[in-house]
Amino acid sequence: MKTAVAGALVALSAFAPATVKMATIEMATIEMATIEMATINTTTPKPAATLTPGQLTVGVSLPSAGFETGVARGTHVIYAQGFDIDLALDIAKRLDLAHVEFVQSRFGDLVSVGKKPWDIAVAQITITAARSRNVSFSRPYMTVDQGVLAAKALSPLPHSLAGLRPLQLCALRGSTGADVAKTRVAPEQTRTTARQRPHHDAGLAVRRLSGGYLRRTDSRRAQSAGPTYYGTFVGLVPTAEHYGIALPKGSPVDRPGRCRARRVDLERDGPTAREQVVVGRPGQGARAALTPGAPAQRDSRAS
Amino acid sequence: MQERGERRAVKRFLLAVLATLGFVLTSPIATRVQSADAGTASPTVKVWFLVGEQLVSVVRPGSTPQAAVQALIKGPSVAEYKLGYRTYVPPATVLRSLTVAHGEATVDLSLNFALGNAQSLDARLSQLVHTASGFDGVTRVHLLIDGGTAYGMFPGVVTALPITLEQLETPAVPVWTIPNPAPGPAVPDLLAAQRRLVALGFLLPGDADGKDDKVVRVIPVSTGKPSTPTPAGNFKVYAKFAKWWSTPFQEWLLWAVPFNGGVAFHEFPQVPAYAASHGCVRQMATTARWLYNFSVVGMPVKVIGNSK
Repeated sequence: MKTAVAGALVALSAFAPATVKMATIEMATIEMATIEMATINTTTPKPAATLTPGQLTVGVSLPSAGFETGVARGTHVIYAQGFDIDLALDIAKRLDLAHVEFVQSRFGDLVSVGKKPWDIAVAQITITAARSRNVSFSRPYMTVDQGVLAAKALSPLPHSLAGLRPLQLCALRGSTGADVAKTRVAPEQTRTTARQRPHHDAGLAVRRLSGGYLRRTDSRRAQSAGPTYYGTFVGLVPTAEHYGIALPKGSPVDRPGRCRARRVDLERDGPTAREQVVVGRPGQGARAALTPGAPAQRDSRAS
Repeated sequence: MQERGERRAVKRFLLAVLATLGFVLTSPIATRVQSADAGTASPTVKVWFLVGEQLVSVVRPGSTPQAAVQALIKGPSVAEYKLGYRTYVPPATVLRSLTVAHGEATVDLSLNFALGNAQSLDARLSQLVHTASGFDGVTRVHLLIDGGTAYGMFPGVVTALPITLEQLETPAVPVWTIPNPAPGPAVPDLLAAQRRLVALGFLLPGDADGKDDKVVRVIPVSTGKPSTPTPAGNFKVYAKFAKWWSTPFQEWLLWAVPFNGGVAFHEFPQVPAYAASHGCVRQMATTARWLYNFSVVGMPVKVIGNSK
């Protein structure tokens, strides 16, 4: 049963000009009862072979509220928390690895070609064919759609893809959100960020974009308080993307049979993580999909 | 007789607020607390704590940003605490270093400063930025945690970059609205409320008939939770704000009628049947605007008792 909408702002600009009106986010649908998570063959008697023996080194791209936040000195993460972090810790546990080291990276570096300084990367990475040429992926652990946020001052709000087209869109370069904006919404109006800076995060992005603001996920607050720090949620562009855990090509952890899907009971294992990722507004139509319909008719409902 | 006369003078404004607690009546306000060292010739620094939903300053001995931040970590005095002053900075926080250069204070604190619930984190960050910015030339505060950069640890505030007061004080959340507010509870028997106040000793026995001091409305509220109780005492309404931005908690307070620093009557989406606020008197949409219109600056407010 799908009971929650989850999301993370991953595809918009922290450095967008003031005229930018829209941003895209990835909205995730959590299978509340179970979630497929990459894990390791627990019948293996020895700990998995990793870059540093006895340690799982995890690539992350801080911050993403609810998923991965923390403190880093350079690339050395000295504290981390969030859904992705819990996921990585659980994988390490199943690998019989006592130590976990998190390494801060730019998002693009996680999925680019080349040698990786980590054993796995957990950073809300959508599995795509292009990325799969550079890194391997686990089975999907989360299914997501693209969400659309409106600038604070935007009125009326669009309720269709056609309604988005006259607006200026913003998405993070190289992201699946940018792909959607360019291919399905408005190629001419899409701006992508020049690069992902170390301090890029959803809060800054929305703040710059719309005067919006990001705060820790609190679905109860969102339900009662209306517009949240993500900005005004307009709707979804259904894409059914899958998040996966990235592994370097040829990694020992990547051998067939070493990494396989296993169902994990979120009710049992992840109530904290589940709370962290619920950022939608259940019951307020947060999952409403944007239709391709004519804006003149549909957008008349906007306030 | 004199007491009786004073009470007659305020009878038009006598109002009973029932729910988790909180009753309203009279008197002067103390919105600032002067420390024992204030007013002396010794140099002092300004340190920012909270009363209710807003920041208020106190002075402490010292002349450097380091002294100010150390005093911030130390927290309010016992006297200040009794008056409702609160800090959201964990007392175990360690100031690892503080340097000032080119108008920017770089403050390195221990990890526990970055851990806690979202609202507490926002509040303590506001305290720190206000306190460290209180020196000539300092306009930005760069926060480090254990020598590292905090990514996403303070919801809504990018701490990887220097933070400014302007940034925190600029409302960053749309004003919330409640499209279809739930109707309030049935209007209670005002005379019964009058008698109840007499029984509780808040009114004199002669007031039971409601002909003198008179209850004009009974309002469900949610007052300060036990850790941040609504300070008891006699105050006066000192301002009215149709919407009031809470810098420390980064939220809007609608139809706000403050009477003690950052402690105010105001509308809020959640008004549970228990004490839940940071010290304010929360009301539902059905009554907040009425009280806003009813109030005048200078109106006496008496808070009798608080959460235990």
